[in-house]
Amino acid sequence: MLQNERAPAEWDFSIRSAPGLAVCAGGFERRSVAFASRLRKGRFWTERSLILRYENPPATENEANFLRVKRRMHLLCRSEPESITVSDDRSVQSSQEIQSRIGELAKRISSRTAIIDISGMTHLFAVSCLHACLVSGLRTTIAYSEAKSYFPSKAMWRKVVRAWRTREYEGSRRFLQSAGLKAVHIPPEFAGNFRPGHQTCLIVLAGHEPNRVEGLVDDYAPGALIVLYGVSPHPHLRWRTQLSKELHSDLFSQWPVREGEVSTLGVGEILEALTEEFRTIRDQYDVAIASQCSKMQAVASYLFWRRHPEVQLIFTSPVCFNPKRYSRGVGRTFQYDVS
Amino acid sequence: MSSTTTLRAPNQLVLKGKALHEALANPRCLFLLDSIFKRGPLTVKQIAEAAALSQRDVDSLLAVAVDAELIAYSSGLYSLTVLGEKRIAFGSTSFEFLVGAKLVADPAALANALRNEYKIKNLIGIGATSYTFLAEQSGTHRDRALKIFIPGTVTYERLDEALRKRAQITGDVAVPEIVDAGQVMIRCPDGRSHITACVALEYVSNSQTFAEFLKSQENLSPRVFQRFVERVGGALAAIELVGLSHGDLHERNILVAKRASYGGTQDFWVIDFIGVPSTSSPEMDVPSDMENFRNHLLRAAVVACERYPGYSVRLLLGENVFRVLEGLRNEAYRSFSELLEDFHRSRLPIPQDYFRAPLPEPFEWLRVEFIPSAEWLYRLFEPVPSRFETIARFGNTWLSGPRGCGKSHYLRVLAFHPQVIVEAAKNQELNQKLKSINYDFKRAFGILFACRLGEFKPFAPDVMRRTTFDSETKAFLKHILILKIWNKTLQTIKEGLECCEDETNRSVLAPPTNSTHLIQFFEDRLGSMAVMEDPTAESVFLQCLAACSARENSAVAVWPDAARRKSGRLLDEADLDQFFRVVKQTFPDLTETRFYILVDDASYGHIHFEMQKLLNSLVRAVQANHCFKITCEKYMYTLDTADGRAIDPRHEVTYVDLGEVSTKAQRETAVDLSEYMARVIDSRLRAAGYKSEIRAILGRSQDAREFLAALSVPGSRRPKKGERAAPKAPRPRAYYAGWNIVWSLAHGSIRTLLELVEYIFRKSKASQETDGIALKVQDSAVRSYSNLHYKALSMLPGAIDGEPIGPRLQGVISAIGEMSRQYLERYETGEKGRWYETISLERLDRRRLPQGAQNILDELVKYGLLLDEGITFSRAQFGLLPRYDMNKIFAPAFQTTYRVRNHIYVTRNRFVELLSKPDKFVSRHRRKLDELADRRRTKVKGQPPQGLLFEENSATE
Repeated sequence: MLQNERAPAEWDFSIRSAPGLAVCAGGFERRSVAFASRLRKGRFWTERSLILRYENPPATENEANFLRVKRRMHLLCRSEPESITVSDDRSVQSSQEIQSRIGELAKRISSRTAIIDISGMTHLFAVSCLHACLVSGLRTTIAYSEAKSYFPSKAMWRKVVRAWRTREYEGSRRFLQSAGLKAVHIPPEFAGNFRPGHQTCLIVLAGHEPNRVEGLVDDYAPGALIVLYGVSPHPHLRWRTQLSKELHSDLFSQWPVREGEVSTLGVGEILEALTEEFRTIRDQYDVAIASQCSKMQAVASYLFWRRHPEVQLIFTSPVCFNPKRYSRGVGRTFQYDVS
Repeated sequence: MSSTTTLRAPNQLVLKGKALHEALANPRCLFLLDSIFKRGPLTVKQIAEAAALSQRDVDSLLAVAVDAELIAYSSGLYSLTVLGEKRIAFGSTSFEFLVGAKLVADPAALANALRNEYKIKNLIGIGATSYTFLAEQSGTHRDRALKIFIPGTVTYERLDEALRKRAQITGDVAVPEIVDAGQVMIRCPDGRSHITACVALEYVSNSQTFAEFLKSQENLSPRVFQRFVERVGGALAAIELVGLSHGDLHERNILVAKRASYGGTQDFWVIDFIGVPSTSSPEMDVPSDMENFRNHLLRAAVVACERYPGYSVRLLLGENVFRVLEGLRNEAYRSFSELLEDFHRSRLPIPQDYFRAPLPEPFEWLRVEFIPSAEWLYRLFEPVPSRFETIARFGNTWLSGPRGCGKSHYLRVLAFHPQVIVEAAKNQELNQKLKSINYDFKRAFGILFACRLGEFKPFAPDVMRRTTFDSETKAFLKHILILKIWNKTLQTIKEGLECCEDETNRSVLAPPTNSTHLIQFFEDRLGSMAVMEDPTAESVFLQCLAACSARENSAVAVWPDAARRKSGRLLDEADLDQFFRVVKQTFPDLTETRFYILVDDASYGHIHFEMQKLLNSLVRAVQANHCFKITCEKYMYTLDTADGRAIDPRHEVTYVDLGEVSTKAQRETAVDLSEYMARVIDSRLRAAGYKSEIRAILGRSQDAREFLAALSVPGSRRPKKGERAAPKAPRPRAYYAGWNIVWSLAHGSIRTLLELVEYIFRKSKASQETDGIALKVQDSAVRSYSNLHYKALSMLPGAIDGEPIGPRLQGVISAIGEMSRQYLERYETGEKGRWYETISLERLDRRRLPQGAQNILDELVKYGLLLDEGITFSRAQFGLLPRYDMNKIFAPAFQTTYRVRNHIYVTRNRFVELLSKPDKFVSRHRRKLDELADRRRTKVKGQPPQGLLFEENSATE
């Protein structure tokens, strides 16, 4: 039973920790190395570690951060850190490989605990790691490092909205975090249950990539939509909720739609919001959830799926990320105990 | 799954009272109790001597017995408690010798004597206070359950009082009736005689315990659990209401028996209820009825979850049972009445304004998914009759065409829509529409699969880290596909059963009179079906549907893991047609029908190629009662089957390309496209309340010569520094406006035309009263729309070689548009009033393209940017060659022609260059065009300009 619904707390790096397994990824963002860099040798050690190595673009940034994480884990891990090559171009296959590898590693550790640093992972890979750890019976803690700031910046607000609304696609492509939807992924373990004769309601946790959401909704063609815009825990980033709304305002005019807001960080709050919506619509609709905003929302969606396996989890991958316009710097690191 | 785990934990509740059970199950402990019973209070030492045990063992046994409150310790002596005494005393009397005997009570000798005579057949149960026998009632020869109380446990007075209360229970309660009650005298073989109370009850024959039932039934539906709550919970509520309790609701006291009333359905019974507790003493710590009820339900839920791995408990048990189970686990109910009230509580519907509905604007229903009701689906349907007749005919059909050509609409009108049938009875116009397309579900019953919803997406070999499925997986996935078709069919039929005509309240589909064939069919293929009693006739059918749906969902959840797949018979092609045969036998309205399985948008992206092959295997099988109709996009559907064969689209199926509607090459099947498209638009205009028709509103287009003359004037060049600008003559205007040009620009796509017209209306602020829009205004809107459409290309989803696909496709379209414009402006045809109008690419050979270029071409065709016009006779007299037209909607963006009069001829290499390096292609052609223009000025006598162009083209290759 998943009982811990607290909001993530800031990681206290002064406390000793010795998980059986640590899973991290060398992503293209700077924050993907933050957790490993902040861990101190005398206070953290792990029996085994697994590092996700991306082979898809942006290759330079991914590889550099992978090597950084690997160097750190080499110091912190009692055995040689293991790595697994993953690719956003074959997401489902990589997800299966991650799960299978974690399953194998879990058999070889004595401490039945795991830490997953999701900061450098795609939503699907983060959820796959979490799922594998829980299925293997590991008490799992999520580590999540936030960025200092995210794109689009406040200065670009008006520009990006104007560019998007007037279909100035060149401008949009310059300002948005990624270049549209490449593919929709529905791994079979998260495929949910379909009842014949029921329409599907798609719950979208919307961020700042309307180009990706547009492709998803068009492809999925749900019976109804619930769009929950992310609200940052930081007051100085609250304006981003409005930006998200403005970016998505024209996308859903053809669908029966309901809009709301939800935290980007508080897992408990996200779960509550999902539960509330689910309670109301579950009789009439089958439900699918597409987390398109924060990584912690993806974690919350997964935990929601654990409670309601009839729900379908949908993941997307963009054509490419704009590494220079995604996030900047590193903020705090949070921890969230899943089991 | 987690749901099963969470259900298991509370099962420990069943172990309450463990101490007592352990004590009574331990023979040493029983011996110890017997010693104290016979000899009176004893010390530890005496007990140890009597039992020949060590003092340590005796201490441990005594501790257990004291814990269970069977023995009390006082002043160094251990004595039996009242509970202990009773347990031992009852154990000393046995009535087993009565089997085979006749039980007769003499009313003269005995007060309140049992009225009837019973021949005892079998001992069927021993309880703490009674023996229960199967006995035949003399006179009626009916079997009865005869319960004889152990003397001293229940007096007749107490029994009488309980029976009076019990008599207040009325209605259809799942408790057997009491037939007879009274006292009997029983003479034991040891010479003792006992006068004791006795009750004869209705005997529940042909039954299993609930646990046995769950174990024996391979297919369970939520109705099993609902009926459990209704019947068992209902019985306990009724008992509770008269101030009694069952008190002994153990596993063997809940039976499931076949009912004679309706086709072998089964129902629950709570037996062994008299009204007096079945426990030996009130002090005994036994679970309450509520606890027992909860434990049974929990256990049943665990069994069901294990039967269907990966299927949600909530769906498996049903919403209301799941809610009750949650309530029981949280100890939320004080009584069974409360429990039943919660069980029957209807779910609140979704509030009216929960979703913001899109405005009812027919012009914005650009995709069939947007059309808000089935009724509108028909009202807005304007088919090309010849195409529709082909599509609607019985037989396997593939239906393709460019995006927005209306293929989904053609398919979806074939589906069974009971609400439309009800509505048509009241609405003459709709009725006429249905007649015009020969809509008759008794002849053709359509079952629709909308493939967009992620339903088929997870079935991909990548999941198994392979590129193709292995043979076992193929067989299992075919099994899933067939289950899906079964379920979708049953669900569609269910909608027909539930949809009633307003006046007569008669359902569109008559309910089945006999479901025996259907149940037998499922049992032969899926194993035994737990079909529960229900007052409604169609319930049996609905239970079959629910059980099949659970089976399907569970199979879907476990398919990638071969070890978790349920062993047993896998369904194959033969089962599919057999299923439809049985459905025809079951439903009186469907005896003559044939079933159309409508698979909408089975293109790659929604269904993996490997999965399409499995679907093709089903399509290819011989079938008398069903056929498949599949829509897909060109190049996005394979024609291979799972066993490696290829389907011949000309002989084995019917292939309809709706794109051909707009292709002049298909002369023998050509339709009046202008007329057809005007009809489509006018039906929407009428729906939106417009007074005028589209041709009147948009008016006549500019004459083609006038239009092209204006369009071909080169753009004004900015004067060089110091140069004087030449005086400007009034520039003629080319208007992309008027009906003829507007519908042509849509290039056969209904969706594009709707969007374009809607855009023109919006820009010109047209109202329902508008009867005309100026050409200038239309032109401005059309150019703006075309530009937007062109710009949007850069945002197309997808990637090729890790690069966004949008800009690459945009580059190709830009190159074609640019070249077209160049030819229009600069190429002299040598004929007055004739221009070189080309938005068409004709290949000069049929050599294969490299994979990268082919991928780009496929994407261009997939998104309808280039229209694949098929193999046509080459204008250059090269025989049959492929031709591709740029979508005309981009013509205004490049200020070029919207007509296909001439072609750009390309060899393989030039075509590859266009697809891979469009900029290079443009500069090469521009250079060549410059040369041609120069040579034109110094033309060689006898060489026609067009030939010159072509000759030059081929010469350079």
